Amino acid sequence: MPSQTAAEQVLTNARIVLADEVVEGTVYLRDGKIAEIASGGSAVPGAEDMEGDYVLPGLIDLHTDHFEKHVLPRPGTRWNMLAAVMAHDAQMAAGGVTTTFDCVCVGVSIKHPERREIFRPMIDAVREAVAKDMLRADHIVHLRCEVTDEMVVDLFDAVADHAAVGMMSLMDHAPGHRQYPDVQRFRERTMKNLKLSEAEADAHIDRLLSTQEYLVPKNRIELAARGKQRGLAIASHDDETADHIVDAAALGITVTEFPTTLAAARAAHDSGMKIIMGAPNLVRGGSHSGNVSAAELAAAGLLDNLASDYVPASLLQAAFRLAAPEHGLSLPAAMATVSANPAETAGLGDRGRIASGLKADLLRVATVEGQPFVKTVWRDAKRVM
Amino acid sequence: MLQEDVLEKQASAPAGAALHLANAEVVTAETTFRGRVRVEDGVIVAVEEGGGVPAGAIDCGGELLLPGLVDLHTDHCERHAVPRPGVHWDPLQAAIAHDAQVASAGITTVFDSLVVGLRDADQTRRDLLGSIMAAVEKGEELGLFRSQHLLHLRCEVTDPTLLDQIGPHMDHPLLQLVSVMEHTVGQRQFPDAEKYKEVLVKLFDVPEDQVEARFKRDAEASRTFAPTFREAVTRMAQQRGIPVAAHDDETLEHVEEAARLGMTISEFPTTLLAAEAARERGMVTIMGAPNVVKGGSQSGNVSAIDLVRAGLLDVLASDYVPISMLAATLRLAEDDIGLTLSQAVNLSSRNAAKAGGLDDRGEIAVGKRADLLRVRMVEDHPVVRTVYTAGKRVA
Repeated sequence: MPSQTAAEQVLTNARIVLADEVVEGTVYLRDGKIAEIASGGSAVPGAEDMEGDYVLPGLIDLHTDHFEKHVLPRPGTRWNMLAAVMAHDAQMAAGGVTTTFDCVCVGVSIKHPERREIFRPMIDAVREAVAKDMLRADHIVHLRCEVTDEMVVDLFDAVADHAAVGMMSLMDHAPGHRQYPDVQRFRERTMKNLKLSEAEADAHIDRLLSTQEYLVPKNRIELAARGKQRGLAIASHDDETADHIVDAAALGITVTEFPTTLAAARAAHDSGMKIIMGAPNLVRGGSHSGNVSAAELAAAGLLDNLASDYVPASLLQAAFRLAAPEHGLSLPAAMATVSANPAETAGLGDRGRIASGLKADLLRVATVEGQPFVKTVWRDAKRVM
Repeated sequence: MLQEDVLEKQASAPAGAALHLANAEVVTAETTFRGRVRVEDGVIVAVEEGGGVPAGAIDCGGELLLPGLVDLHTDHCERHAVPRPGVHWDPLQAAIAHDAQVASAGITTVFDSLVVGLRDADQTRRDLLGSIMAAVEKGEELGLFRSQHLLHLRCEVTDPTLLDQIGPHMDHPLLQLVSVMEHTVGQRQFPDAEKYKEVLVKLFDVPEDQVEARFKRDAEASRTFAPTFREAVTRMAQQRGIPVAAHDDETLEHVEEAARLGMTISEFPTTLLAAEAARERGMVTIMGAPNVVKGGSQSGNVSAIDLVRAGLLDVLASDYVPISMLAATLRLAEDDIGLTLSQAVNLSSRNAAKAGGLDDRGEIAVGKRADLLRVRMVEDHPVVRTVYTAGKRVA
């Protein structure tokens, strides 16, 4: 096996998935970058035999909530942040993800009232672990801003200039629209999650509804302006109507993540916004909450990016699912939804495809019964898994 | 690619190219020294002292070289199979994700722990047991895992259908550990009724007005059929040569009963008294690594560190956090607790392997399976970057 300092690494006898075709051949890596792709074998001594397995671009995941799960492994248990980011990192790398946008929630939600306390230490941990070379994948923080929280702009300001931050999204988890069109269902969840009485839940809902008139629009405008000023990719979350899209586009938002209706997705596409859907949704064949499915958007040609959401290994599974007969995309087109497209959506020009000059973030993948199985992961040509 | 291709490839892969790791802080069962480890055909063939890096050897740069960890109890496989309440993931994909998580945490042999006898679960949840067991078997058969997987069935004796449920699974080829649990109020994990009530309501979504009825029902089970079930399950396992663990022992009577039935392991004892009694009867005591890392038990019972200080802890298990195992191991070697690094590592490898009935692994010694970890310390955080199972790099 070539050592980490070897000038050249050669992966041969591979099925290489390029941006527009699959080539049987050899990939040459130099100085952490992809140097050359050639069809056919290699006579270079020490070439690594891929035994006919796929070599794929490392995946780019724009939205994973998994870091928080490692921080809070059980209700009431808070784990060491650095240890948690390492555990999360290993899971992402094992899922084939070489660039991950770790979601950190800015502002509270009904599920996790403790988020105001943990968001800052989570971001610090990502930066420290990256700086100390403790991680397998590249990590960038995605700030999920809850616009119904009256403190959200202040909370954002406290962390926005953090070196680890590279993306943001605007969420509005008030009942009556977007993810929670059914107010009664929202009331039940609120009572259960926050352990509130019916009267308390109603007061909570009234407060959330009252934010819609003034606070939410104001927060959206201020946050989007701050994001643009810093050059962050900005996504709007759970868009439900064409109006939501018009509103987002007016704020200069370029991405819609998890739109809940076909109408919203189409409006987004028509106005040049990029669409992100959850990979678990595609793998499971439908949304958790009964909204438009990723498969429907794929069929309508409206699916630009997939994100792993709450299951790290779902990303690669979903890409292979898109390339199966039921969806019928070519493997390169399917892979683009988890590599080239998210790189473009997030403005990362140095990665996302197997092409000379780009970062050598690569996966060796075999399939068993059509399901992908990650054997080896390289980041910057260095084996990390 | 079809399954046959994968199998064929494995058969044709070189049986185990030689591996030579040099300039490492080698941790054996007795001591730690700067040295080299040589592997052939997946087995350790030489362990030598000295700082040089011979030609062809990999320079470990002074990093720690530990035996791969052996985890007798992790609940994590179930979590990957149900990533969110009500969401069921493909069991093989779930097992593969779980495998990667444990391997990257330095665990090279894992006993996937699955609960049998969830009295209040629906049929979907119950069916999960068989499908996870089948997936683990398939993953092992096809060589899809980085670590080696065995099964640990956790049997809840307050479920009246327990014996019917466990029967079909007792001859599973990967079943290597059985534990016997009894979750009732007022004893073992939950001596405090208020605390148990809180757990049921918050963690298990039991409606508050049904808690009392449930307490009553479980207490009745405990008085009537539970003792018979405990004995039956233990006997079924013993007939197959499978070690049996008692779970959450609290009193002298609990330990006496377990010892009388021939159980050899006491898993997560809740009092110092029970741990002492287990030691006197030659039973092996296991505690959860999260308990060490968090500095105490979540339910307020005896802490793992107290047991270590009393010289009563034999084995660590990752319980619900895979990465906790290595962190806890290194924590126990810090000055205020005072185990040597070898003693601490033995808890997570050699002793665990032995308690699980595996004598081919668990320490860096000639003739043992080459399950090895390279660990770099960043301040007090262990960073695992390179993991070998049977001499082959897997993570």
